[in-house]
Order: sequence, then structure tokens, then C-alpha cells
Amino acid sequence: MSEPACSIEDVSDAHETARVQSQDARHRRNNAWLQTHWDAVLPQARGKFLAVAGQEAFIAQTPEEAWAWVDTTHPEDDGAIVQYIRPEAGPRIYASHR
Amino acid sequence: MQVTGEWQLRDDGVVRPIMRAKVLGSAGTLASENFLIDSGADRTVLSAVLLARLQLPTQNADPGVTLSGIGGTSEFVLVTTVIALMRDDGVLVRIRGEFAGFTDPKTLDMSVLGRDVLGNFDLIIGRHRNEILLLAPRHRYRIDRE
Repeated sequence: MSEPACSIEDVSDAHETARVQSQDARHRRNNAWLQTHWDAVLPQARGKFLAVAGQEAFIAQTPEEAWAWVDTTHPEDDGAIVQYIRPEAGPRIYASHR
Repeated sequence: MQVTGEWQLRDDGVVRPIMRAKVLGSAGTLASENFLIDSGADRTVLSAVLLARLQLPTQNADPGVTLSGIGGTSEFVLVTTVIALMRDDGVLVRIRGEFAGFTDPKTLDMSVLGRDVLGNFDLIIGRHRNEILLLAPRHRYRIDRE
């Protein structure tokens, strides 16, 4: 894998920009909700997959189950997030691991 | 260009530098994702959880090429997609490229924004002032001494 190159461009489409701005607002709301509700989802979410959509949480066994919950429970929320919650809570150096 | 990130409280009680982004999937839809800003990472890497959402065609890396960290190497694939960021002035920015993606959902708990993307910007990570900024012309930073 050689040094990758990215191209960066501004989007001039006002409709697309407005759509992403709305999505980003929903994304921001879900992030903000999670940051104030960690105590409601931990420790039961450790080692599992946590979905947040519509300022509501769901703990799943797999990513597919988490995304399916998003699609069925909050199909309108394209600001939904799903993440793996590590079983352990110690300090992290973000690198790949086995 | 100025894009503002955020300090985000994570599951372990640690506050980390995060950039909200939208990533283009196969159906033309954008998935919302929080990227850890990691100026020490050579490559931007998408989490396996995000890959599962995007449903993009993947490619294997060339033989002998690994994605390695302190803990060893991990299985990954390559995807070509767009990472979209919202500039502070409301303009949408598309970053198009080939990015790595982990295949094991337990390898990494979040996607990582690495130097392949960050190298296009000046990066400010300021905890004391609670600032995370990606800057590109016509924005720049200045250091003042009191």
C-alpha cells in the first residue's frame, strides 16, 4: 500500500449541502445524548455493539443487528451511530491489535 | 477552510478528539461516523462496523502489505469512497480516496482519521481551549505570546 492520495473538493450543490447539514444536526444530537447517558448503557454494553438513534440506545450482539434496529426503529435518523464498546476500560493507544 | 471537531467523552471516561463525518455508501446514502483524530496514524481506517453499513465493494491489499500497530497486524480491505465534512461556513467538503477498513468489528472501536487526510490540513488539537480545527487556505493559525 503506497502513500495514498486524497482529492478534496467543495460541494456547490445547495440541496445536497442542506441535506447533509440536517443529517449532521441529527448526528450531533445523538453524540450529545450518548455523552450524557454513558451510565445508562454501561457496563452492559461492554463487549457488544451500541447503537444510538433518535436519542435512544440499543445494545446488539453484532453490527448487523445494531444497524437493523436503527433501520426499523428510527428509519428517519441518518445521524445514527453504531460502535463497538470494548470489554476493557483501560488506557488506549489507538493501534491495531489482536 | 476551517472544519471544527469536538472533544468527545467516550465509554472509558476519557475525552478524545473527534471529527464528525459522513461516509458515502453503496446506495448513495451517507452514514454518520465519528472519527478519532490520530495524527500518528499513517492511514485513515474505517471501522468494520461502518464497513458493514456502507456495503461497498472491497479490494484486498497487495500481498505483503499489512496494517500494523503496536499490537501487531490486523486483517483489512480497501474501499474507495468519499468522506464528507462540513466546513464552519456551511460549505460541504468531499474527501475522495481509497481508505483501509478493518474486517473484524472488534479490532477497533472507532474509525480513525489519519495522515492521508490530515496531511491536507493544519491541525489544531487544543484541550485547554477546547479546540479542534482543521485549517486550509484561506485560514491559518498564529501563535501569540502573552
